[in-house]
Amino acid sequence: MTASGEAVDRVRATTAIGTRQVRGRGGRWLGYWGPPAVVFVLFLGAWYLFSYVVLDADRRFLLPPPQAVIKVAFLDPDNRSQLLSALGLSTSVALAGLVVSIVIGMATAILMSQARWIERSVYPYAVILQCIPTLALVPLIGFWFEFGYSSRVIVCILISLFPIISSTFFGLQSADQEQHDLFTLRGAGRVTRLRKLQLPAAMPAVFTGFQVSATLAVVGAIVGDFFFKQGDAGIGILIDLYRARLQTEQLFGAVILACLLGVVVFWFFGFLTRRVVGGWYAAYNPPS
Amino acid sequence: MTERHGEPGPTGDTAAQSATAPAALRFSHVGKRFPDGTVAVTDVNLEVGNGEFVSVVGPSGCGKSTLLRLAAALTRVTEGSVEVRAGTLGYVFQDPTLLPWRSVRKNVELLAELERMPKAERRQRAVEAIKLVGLSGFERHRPRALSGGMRMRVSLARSLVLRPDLFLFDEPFGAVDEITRERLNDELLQLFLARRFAALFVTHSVSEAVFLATRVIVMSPRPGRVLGDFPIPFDYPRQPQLRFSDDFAHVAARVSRCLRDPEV
Repeated sequence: MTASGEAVDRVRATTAIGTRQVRGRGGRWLGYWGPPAVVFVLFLGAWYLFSYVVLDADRRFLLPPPQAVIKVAFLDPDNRSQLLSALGLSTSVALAGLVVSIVIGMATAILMSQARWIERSVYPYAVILQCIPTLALVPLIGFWFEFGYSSRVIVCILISLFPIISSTFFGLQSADQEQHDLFTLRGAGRVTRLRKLQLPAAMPAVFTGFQVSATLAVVGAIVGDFFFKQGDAGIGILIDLYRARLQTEQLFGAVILACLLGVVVFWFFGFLTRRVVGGWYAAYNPPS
Repeated sequence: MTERHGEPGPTGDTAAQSATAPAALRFSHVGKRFPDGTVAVTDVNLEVGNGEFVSVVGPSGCGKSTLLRLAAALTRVTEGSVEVRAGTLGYVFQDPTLLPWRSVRKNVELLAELERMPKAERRQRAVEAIKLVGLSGFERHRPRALSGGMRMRVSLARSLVLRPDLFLFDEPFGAVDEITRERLNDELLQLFLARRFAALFVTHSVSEAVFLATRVIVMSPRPGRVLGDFPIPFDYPRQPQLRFSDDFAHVAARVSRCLRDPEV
C-alpha cells in the first residue's frame, strides 16, 4: 500500500528539471527576448529608412524619425504633460468600462448558463450588440448621455462586453459530465455547483476573455474620445487635434502611448491569469 | 436465461454470508431504453449482498456502465426496479475526475464538503484516507503533478472519506498500465477487507474481475443481459501470486468462455 516508488521517481524528475533550468538560464533568456528584440530593431530600421531615404526633407513631417517624436512629444514639458494627462483620463475611462463590462458580462453569462431559455433569449442580442457598428452608435451615445466621462465609459462597455460574456459562458460549460455527476451524486444544488465546479473550471477561459476585453476597452476609450471631440481631452481628442494641426511628432507620440497602454493592460491580465490559474491549468505549464 | 454456476461454496465466507444477509443492491427485471431508442440493458436481475464484491464483465457497449448509473440514480430505469439498501454510496469513475485546481487534500475532502461535514472531521478523514491509499506526503500536490495511478488513488480516497457501504466502480483502472493495475487491485482488496463495503465493479478485464470478486457476472452484447453468474472460490486475503495459479486460470477460462461463446 505505498506509492513510494512513484514518489521517488517524481522527486528525481523534479530535480532533473531543476538542474536543466539552472544550466540553461542565459540561453533561455536570449531565446525568450531575442526574437521580439530583432523584430523591434527591424521595425526601427524601416522607420528610419522611410523618414530619411524615401521621404525628402519637405515631406519628412509625414513620418518624423523616432528621435524627433521622442524629442517633441515626450521631452518637451508642455507637450508631455498634455499627453500624460490625456493618457491618465483614457486609462481611467478604459478601466472603468472594463470593470463594468466584467460585472455585467459575467452576471449575464452565469444567468445564461443556468437555463437554456435564458441563453436562447439573451445570446442572440449579445451577438447583435457586438455587430452594431461602433461608428454609428458613438454619436448617438453622445446625444443621449452628454459628452462627458460616463458616455466614454459606455462606449468602452459596448466594445468590451461581448468577449466577457462569450468566454465566461464557454468556460462555465467546460466542466465534464463525470465531474457534474460527482456533484449530482452528493445532491449539490445550483449554487454549490456554480461555486465549486463551474466557476473555478471557467477561470482559464474567463481570464482569456478579460485579456481580450481589456485591450478592447483601451480601444473603446480612445474611439469614444475621438468622436466626441468635447470635454476633457483623452488620447482620442489629442489624436484628432494633432491630426488637424499636422503635428505629426505629437500624433505619433499619442499613438505610441495608446499602444503602450494596450500592451501594459494585456500583459497585466496575462500575468494575473498565470497567477490565478497557472498552478493547475495545463496550457500555462507546457511540459519541459 | 441466467445460469447459476454452482452454489456459493464453503470457501469464501463473504459469498456464504450474502446468501442470508439482505442485499445492499438489487436489480429486478431492470431495463433501460434511452430516448433515442437504444436499449442499453434488458431484464437484468442482480443482487449484491452486504460485504460482497461483485464484478461485471462484458463486451464494450453492453450497458455495464449504465447499470452503475442506474444504481446511483444518475439515470432512471425504464423497466423493473432498482433497490439500494446502503446508507452511503461511493462511485469511482473511469477517469479520476479530480478538480485540477484543488490540491490532493482538497480533492479528497470534496465529497465530504458537499455533504456539509464539519471542517475538522472532514480534514481528519481526508488525512486518514490519503494515508490509506499510500499518498501521505502528497497532500499539497495538484493532480497534474501526479501519475495516472496516483490520481486514481486520490479518486478512491475521495470516496473512502464518506465511508460508503456500497461502492460502484466503473472500470476505474482501465487507463493505467498492467503493473499499476495489479498493484491497485491488491490495494483495493486490502481496503475491501479493512472496510467490508459491498462493491459492484465493472471491468473489461476477466483476470481483474476474477481476482477481486466474490462473484463474477458476465453480460451479453447490447442489449445487455446477465449471461452467467460465477462464484469465485478463493479465500480472502488473496495473495498477488493467486493470479499465476492453475485454479485461477481455470476459473478465468470458464468466465472467458462464457463471455466469448454465450451459447455453449
